[in-house]
Amino acid sequence: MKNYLRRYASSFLILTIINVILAMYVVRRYDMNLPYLAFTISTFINSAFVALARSVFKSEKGNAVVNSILAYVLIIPVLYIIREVYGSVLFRLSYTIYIVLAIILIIYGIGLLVAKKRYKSEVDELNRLLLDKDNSEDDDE
Amino acid sequence: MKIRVFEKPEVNELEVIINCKTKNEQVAEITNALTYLNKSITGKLDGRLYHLSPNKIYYFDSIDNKVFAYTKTDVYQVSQKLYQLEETLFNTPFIRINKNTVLNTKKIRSFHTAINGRMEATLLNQEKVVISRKYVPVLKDKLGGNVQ
Repeated sequence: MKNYLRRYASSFLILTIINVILAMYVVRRYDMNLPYLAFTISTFINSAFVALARSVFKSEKGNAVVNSILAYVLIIPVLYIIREVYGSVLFRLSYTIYIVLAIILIIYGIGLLVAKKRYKSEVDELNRLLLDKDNSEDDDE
Repeated sequence: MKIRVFEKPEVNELEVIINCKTKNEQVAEITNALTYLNKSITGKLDGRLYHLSPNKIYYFDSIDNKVFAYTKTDVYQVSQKLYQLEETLFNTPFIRINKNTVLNTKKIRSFHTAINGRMEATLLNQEKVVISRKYVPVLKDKLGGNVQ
């Protein structure tokens, strides 16, 4: 629970900054007022989803592939909530949200590959140490 | 190093005596190895108590405030807490690899990484355990690498 709350706090901070930047863009460019209450509530709800996605992704239990897919699925409602708040100002076309989802999926996939490659070098080193240890024990015998 | 074994039928308990000039690293390694073989952990299975030798145990896992010792084929419940086992088996091949698991490094077959960057170890009995990144430097040190 403590980890989830910490992730929630960091997600809230990041989403607040993103929302403020988006809101400033929308208000200045399109000269419209945004519903403050919906804006605030959406930030709280989106932070919960993002924190949950991060917790599922980093979870040490369960299948890693399933966790990765589930983490992406938990991000999808965030976009729908943003669309509800900003309406057609940001999502001009009906299929814009699907394009954004596809872009996020591509970035997510690249992120997964980078993470796997980054930690592969550590795993290779551990395997090398294990092999060296086995070989030295065989030599002693 | 000279190794001598004397068979004496009148001896009841095995005794190992190490004669050395100074207590150096080699002597420490030998005493650690003997500690590993000498310790005994009591485990319960099907209502019966068993004395388990650490070299038979693959890993200890804590679930719902209970600690279990996993051997090649069986699972024993152990009365000690995980941190107590960690202290008892300090100079042995056992090492904590995540919040709930203490692993016998002698039983590791290989390491691999999962799609989300999670690190896993496959044991000699084909079981898999998850290694938390926080404990990787200590694991490297245990396997003989340098911690930076």
